[in-house]
Amino acid sequence: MQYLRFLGAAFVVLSSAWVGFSSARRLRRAGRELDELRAALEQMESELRCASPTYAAVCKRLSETATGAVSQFFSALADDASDPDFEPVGATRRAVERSGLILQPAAFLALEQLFDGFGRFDLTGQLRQLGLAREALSHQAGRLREQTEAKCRSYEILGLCAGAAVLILVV
Amino acid sequence: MEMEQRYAALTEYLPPEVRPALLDLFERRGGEVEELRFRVGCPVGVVLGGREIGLRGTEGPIQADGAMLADLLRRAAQHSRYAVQHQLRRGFVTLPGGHRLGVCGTAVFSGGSLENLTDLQSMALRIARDCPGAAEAATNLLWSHPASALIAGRPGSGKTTVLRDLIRQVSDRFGQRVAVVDERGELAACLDGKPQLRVGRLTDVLSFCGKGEGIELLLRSMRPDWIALDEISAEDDLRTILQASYCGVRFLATVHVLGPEDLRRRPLYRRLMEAGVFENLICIEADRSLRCERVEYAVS
Repeated sequence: MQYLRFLGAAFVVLSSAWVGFSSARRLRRAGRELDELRAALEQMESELRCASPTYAAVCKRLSETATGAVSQFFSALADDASDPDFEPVGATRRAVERSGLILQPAAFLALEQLFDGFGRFDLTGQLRQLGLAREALSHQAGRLREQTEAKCRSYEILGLCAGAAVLILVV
Repeated sequence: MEMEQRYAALTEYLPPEVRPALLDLFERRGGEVEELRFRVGCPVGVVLGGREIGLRGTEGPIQADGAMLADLLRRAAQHSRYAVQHQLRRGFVTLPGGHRLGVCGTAVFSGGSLENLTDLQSMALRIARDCPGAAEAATNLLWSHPASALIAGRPGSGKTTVLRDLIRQVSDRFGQRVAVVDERGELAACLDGKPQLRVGRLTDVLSFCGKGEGIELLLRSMRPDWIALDEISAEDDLRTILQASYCGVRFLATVHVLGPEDLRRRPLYRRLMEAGVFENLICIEADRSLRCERVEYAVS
């Protein structure tokens, strides 16, 4: 009986701590993905300046160089854009959903503005759009970086404390 | 790529409302379809054997409107206007497969040069065709007298088709290196570096480059036996051809003429003929047969 109680208590603390730690991990992953997205947009700018590949081609190239969810995001965009009946509006949302990319609302908005209108402008206009999106992502990344460590620690401690609190209440 | 596949690939780039009717037309009269014409407020036109007729869907003629033209351009540009802006400045976009979409609308100027076309009014889609053997008679002339050849014909007479076949034959049958300045991407229609139209195994293609720059680049980098280019139309082209001809390279080229007399009447063509570069003349007749002749130059 004592053994079961101990096991139950451990489960309560661990599950609660797991929620806190996974929230913290998600937040750290969001920061990493945002940095990788910024790097990808920088590469996209270089690709456009160098050879002006089409929407589908540049996204395919980025999907090959990026990793994880960012790679899947560009791969989803490339798949969509290679279809001649491709409808750009909504493409970002579909790609984010398919890739599992974690984005803050402001970062999502910046990407949506970039990719849902991609290819409508000449090269100068397109590069300007890219610059704006990169700026917005940099701003977001900066804010996230400032908050990440403190927030992550809070989530982890909250998870542990919540577990401990539940344990005390139950016992 | 087989013709049926090429037509099917082409229709993917066309607005959905014209696809069924066009696929049906390609199935019935595929080889005859030369052009598609889209004009705002008018039925979509199809040019068959030089005559334009309206394209009919199941519910009568298919009307073109501004949205259809904008959609067509978006599809032709593969949703990447920036990627075709240099072509658009010259009034056309080349689709995968070598089909050329001519664009007409309101010109937007910036700094004195044409920057863009807006308020699209009409579009003409010329369908590229691969006709192996189209230049058979001309090949025989070149075989007996392997010197530079000029292909002359009316607009839409099939000069590009003949030139493409000539390039293929010189490359495959003569076993000589041909470098192509494919200024509008129509001759070889390269996609990911691979020609979509048959231009021969010893052919090097430089796509979307001006003739003058292209000739110089190819001479420096590819050491060709022949250089092929479509539509000589400017003084600069003539000057570069002349300079390059001193390097021992031979040319395959086309010119727009309404009749053989244009070659003597128009100053640019007269100078071209007087320069003595082209020793073979291939005229495309009204019935699209080839009249091949040697050009005799007086030795001074």
